[in-house]
Amino acid sequence: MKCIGILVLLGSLCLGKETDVAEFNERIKPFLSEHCVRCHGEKKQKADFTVHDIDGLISQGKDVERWEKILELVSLGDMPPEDEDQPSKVERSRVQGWIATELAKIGRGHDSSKLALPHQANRVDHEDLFSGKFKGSASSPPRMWRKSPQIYSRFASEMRLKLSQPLMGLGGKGIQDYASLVADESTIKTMMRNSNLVAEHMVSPKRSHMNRFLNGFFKEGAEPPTEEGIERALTELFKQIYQREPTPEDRQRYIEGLFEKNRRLGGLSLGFRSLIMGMLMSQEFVFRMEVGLGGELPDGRRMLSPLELAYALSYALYDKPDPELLKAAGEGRLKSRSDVEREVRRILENPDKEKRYWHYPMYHRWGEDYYHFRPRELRFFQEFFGYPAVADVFKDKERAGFHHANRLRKDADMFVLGILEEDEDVLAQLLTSNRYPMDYIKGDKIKKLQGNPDERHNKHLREQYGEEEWANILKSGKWPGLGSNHVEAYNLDRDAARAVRRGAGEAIAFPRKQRAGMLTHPAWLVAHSGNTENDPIRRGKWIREHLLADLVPEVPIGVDAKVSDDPHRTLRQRMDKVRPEECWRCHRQMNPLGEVFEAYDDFGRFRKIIVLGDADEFFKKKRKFEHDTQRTRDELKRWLKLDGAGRQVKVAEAEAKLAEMKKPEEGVKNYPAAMSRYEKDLKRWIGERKKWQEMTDEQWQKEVNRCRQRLAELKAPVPKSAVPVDTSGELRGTGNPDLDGPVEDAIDLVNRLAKSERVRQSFIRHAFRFWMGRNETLDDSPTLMAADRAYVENGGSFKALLVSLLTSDSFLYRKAPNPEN
Amino acid sequence: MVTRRNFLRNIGAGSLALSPFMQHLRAEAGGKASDLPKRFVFVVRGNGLRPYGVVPEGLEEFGNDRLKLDRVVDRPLADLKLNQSMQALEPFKDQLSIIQGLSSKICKGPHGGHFGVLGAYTSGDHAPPRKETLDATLAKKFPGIFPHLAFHIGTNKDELFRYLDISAQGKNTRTPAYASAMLAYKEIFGTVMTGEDAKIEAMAHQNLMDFLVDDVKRTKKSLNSNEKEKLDHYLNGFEALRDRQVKLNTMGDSLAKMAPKLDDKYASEIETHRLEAHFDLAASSLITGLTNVVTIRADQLEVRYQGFDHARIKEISVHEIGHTADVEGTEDRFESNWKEGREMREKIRTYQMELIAGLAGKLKAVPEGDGTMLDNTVIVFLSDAGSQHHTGYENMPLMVLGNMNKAFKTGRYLHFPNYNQSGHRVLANLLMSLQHAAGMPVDDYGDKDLGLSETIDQSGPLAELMTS
Repeated sequence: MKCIGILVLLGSLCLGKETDVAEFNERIKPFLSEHCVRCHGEKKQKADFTVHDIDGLISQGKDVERWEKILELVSLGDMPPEDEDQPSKVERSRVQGWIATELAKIGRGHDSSKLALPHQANRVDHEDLFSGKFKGSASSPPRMWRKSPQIYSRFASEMRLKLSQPLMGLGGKGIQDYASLVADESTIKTMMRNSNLVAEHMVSPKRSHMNRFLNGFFKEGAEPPTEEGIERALTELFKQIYQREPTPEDRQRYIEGLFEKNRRLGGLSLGFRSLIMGMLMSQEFVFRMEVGLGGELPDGRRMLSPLELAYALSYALYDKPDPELLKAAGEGRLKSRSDVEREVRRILENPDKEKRYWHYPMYHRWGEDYYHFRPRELRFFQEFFGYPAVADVFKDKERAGFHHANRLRKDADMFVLGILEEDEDVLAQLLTSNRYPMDYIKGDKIKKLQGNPDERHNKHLREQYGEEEWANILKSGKWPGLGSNHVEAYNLDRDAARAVRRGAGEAIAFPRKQRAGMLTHPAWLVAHSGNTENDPIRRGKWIREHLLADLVPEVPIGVDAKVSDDPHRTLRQRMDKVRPEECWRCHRQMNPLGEVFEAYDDFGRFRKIIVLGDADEFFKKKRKFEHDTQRTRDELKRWLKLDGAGRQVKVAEAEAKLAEMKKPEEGVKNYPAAMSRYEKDLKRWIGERKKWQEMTDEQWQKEVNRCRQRLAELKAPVPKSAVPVDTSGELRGTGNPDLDGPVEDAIDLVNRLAKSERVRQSFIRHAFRFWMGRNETLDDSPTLMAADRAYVENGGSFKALLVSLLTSDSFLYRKAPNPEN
Repeated sequence: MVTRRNFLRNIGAGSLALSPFMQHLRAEAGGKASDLPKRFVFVVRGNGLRPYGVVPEGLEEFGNDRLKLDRVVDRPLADLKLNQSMQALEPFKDQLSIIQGLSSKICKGPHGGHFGVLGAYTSGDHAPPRKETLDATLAKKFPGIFPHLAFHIGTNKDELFRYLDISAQGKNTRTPAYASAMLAYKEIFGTVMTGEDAKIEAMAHQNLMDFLVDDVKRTKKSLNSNEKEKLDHYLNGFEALRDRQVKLNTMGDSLAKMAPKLDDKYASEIETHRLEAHFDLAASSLITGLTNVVTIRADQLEVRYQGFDHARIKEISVHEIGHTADVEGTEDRFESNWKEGREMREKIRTYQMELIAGLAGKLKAVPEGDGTMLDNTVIVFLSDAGSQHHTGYENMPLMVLGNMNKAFKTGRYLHFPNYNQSGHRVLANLLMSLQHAAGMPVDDYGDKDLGLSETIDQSGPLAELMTS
């Protein structure tokens, strides 16, 4: 009996797995003969690849690798080559469908978890998405979206406890928070430890802002709590941990199912500890639940319920639930699309009054995020452009002491925030603006100076700048100079950096021929560079995938992806390794885009020549020369001020100091320290006085001459060998013949990109992924088109784009995907 | 020494058959040394390990911390008298290597190189780890039921555990370490606790797990298959934890025999008591095969030792001890003379050496293969701050105890040439030596010190230490 059963089962399995040979003979084979065999057949075997001898018996495990290759190339549109006759879209998708189905029967072909990654979404045909042909009924699947690391950190920081991060993002440079992420054992282990810490803290008799409603129970001699007391504590815990009140069902589950059980076992403290740990590891705490508990449409799509909406919108814009949204949901004001629109607008139109981002610490050493008051918008741009990776690219300090990754990253953050604040033509601005905010300056500093010129620190600054400069500062309200030598990455040497004069948060305009937008910003350039040189391939790939909605095939297995490091040839010359046809077919999509950025070195400095040979040695010498010149010039300036009269001033100053000084009396606080300070000062000023009194004019003249001579002696180093930079490239794939074609340099390229409709739409596709937490499908076509329209019609307003996305069907509705699709 | 037979009788072989504890005994039967488990213990202290405290007596550099060397000094320990503070290690002299002169200038931070010490990469103050450290790598290679046990001395008895600043499981993931010896005992040897409290804790934990599993299952019903799968991952996580519990339960008797004795020191207010408990737990976990890799943070700057019979140590923190003078003829800002500073350091160092000797002794008492468990173990002792409180990482004095099945030449004093002198080596070379001994022949590990000239070999193990 059993045997028969198995046989039947096997038989039916085989039946289901058999290859659809009829389709192969009817459609696939003719397709291959027409489009492939001429180059990959008996006579020619380009790239050592043939298809003339392939048969359709995939399910018997034949030629699986070859079929996978064909599937990849046909679905990416990489084959047949552009200059050959192209199959129609229908033909292409039919072939693709057949191969994919057949490969799936034996468990091969596309890996679905890989296809769910953000950059794979470009597989969906761009023209189709924006053609208007697909009226879709857009919705997301009912889902559990694992919370982001930032949501967890936010919670930890509110608890004011040091908790380890149990939740990790996708990794790499792109979008990090995606609905396909999972939580597993390692997540639980860390969460268990964390929740143990939190629970201990909460049941401690020591009162804190977090446990004030619990600690009373655990004080010495406290009465056992009443039933109401416990209910109240549960309500408070719910508010604190889930930001909502418990339902009657929750009360039953948490109190009877957990709290009372363990309280009976080990007393009140154990009861509460378990209760808190249970809450902190529950699925509600770890996942955002978006099942679609609202009203159902005739086509089976269900809207998110008001509470689900409140959470979904909160996490779309913040890292924690927004009390206003929860209130609106509770009061029945968050039911319809127009309700959502009203709330989104309310949040987006709430301005950042304090503009704290101008004031966040100059030297945030570990690259912690500046915490924006609405953090998710900035994070989208960080993940879209990938510039925070600037801190992950190791650069040798020996080569460039000025390089400071976190400052560059902060500059880029401010660049984005400044443009978002204007909210006009956001993408075009980001791609072409030559105005970069830089470095840290406190807006209230000048006010403070004006208000309190005699304060010790202010006095020091006043002396440093001198009366004339000082008057200028007060008059203009602008601050001279940039504080950090990282500005060298922008080709500002110290003199140039000192000459910059600007107010708080004011951006600096750079030469239009040198800088335009994020892609020429040192932060982006470094983030997309190697340890010692540029990385035109990855830069090109980035542009292709992020701005041109394209997908570049992965490096074929067996390819030795190494460029020689001959220092006597430029990187572009060394890239000739990828020019042979079999490489160039793919590299043509990347190199001509990435190589235009050869106008910058791998620290983001603009350059007109490329130094060959020992370039590091040359730059070391150059820096030394600049440094020495600067110092000698400064020294000369100081000496010139110290002519006869200048020295008198110095003597008078020393005397004034000496007159001011008082010997500390015995018995004052810290007497020995005060005394030693006094003695030190005394020695210093007596020395000063003596020095300037005794100096003769001859001696002074000697010093001046020495500086002048040193300046005359310093010679700028000349590179032994250098070539002018070749910045030419080619733009293809915008779908606009006016824009496609050879480009002169990076500036030319980004300006063309900024004009492209496809680039704009590609940007919108990325925003879609970020806010929906998933890849787009053809059903989402109306959502994307509406977002694009909203963006364009509102003059390139990012806010308008966001309102459109967050009120779209894709965001609001849930429906289980049809398993057949 | 106990013979294998009476050792087995002692611990009662009842349920041993199922336990990992049997592995090494079984390997003995098969006679294959390669089957023997490999164990690694890292003991890391703060405040630096002063060279004068580890150099054996009778060497010219004894008492001279600033000796400039241009060649490797390699002396057998057998001819030398161990440093006063290392007397406890006298019985293990033939298994011991004392190493000086390795630099680790890729480490930054004034008080310690953080993850950089065991990971050989630059890691600044308060920065999260960039990648996993060597102890975690080894733990993944030789996993036990508890793949990687870690302890931290803690600052008070209520501190449960702490995420280490010297060990990481991967990028951004610090290794969690038990500070509370009691919590560690409960989690590791909880199944053998017979007291009423322990039973209650276990039942409460079970209730919590049941609640959480039920919580996930409840939600699962309303989802489609993709999302169900996601929750399954979460559910499996809980199940894996339960699984570990089941494994521990099957080890019942052997655990009970080998578990350390639960006494007052497990919940003591006094740091030294906790530290002793940590070492006991480490020994028992290694012997029972529950784990093969242990990291112990033996002290840290904010710790205050109250258990020592010394008026000054009780008063000031380890950090402040670091600021006391200890060089002959100097005074510190507390206006006490160098002798007191040195005395305090001696006391702490001696104590730590005694703990290590205790652990080694316990391992040596257990037969394994042709020898004892100590023969298949390496204990590494060093400070994350190199040789002094405010460190420049030019010299990382350290001690390696155990020859890992004759992979290391032991019983020696090795002093490598000074920074940038020909023949100089870096700490990463030692970390690679450990990997070679572990059967992971890695010859390129961690960040390179770019300040070193190209003639200095920063790759591969320390030839002077390896037998082959």
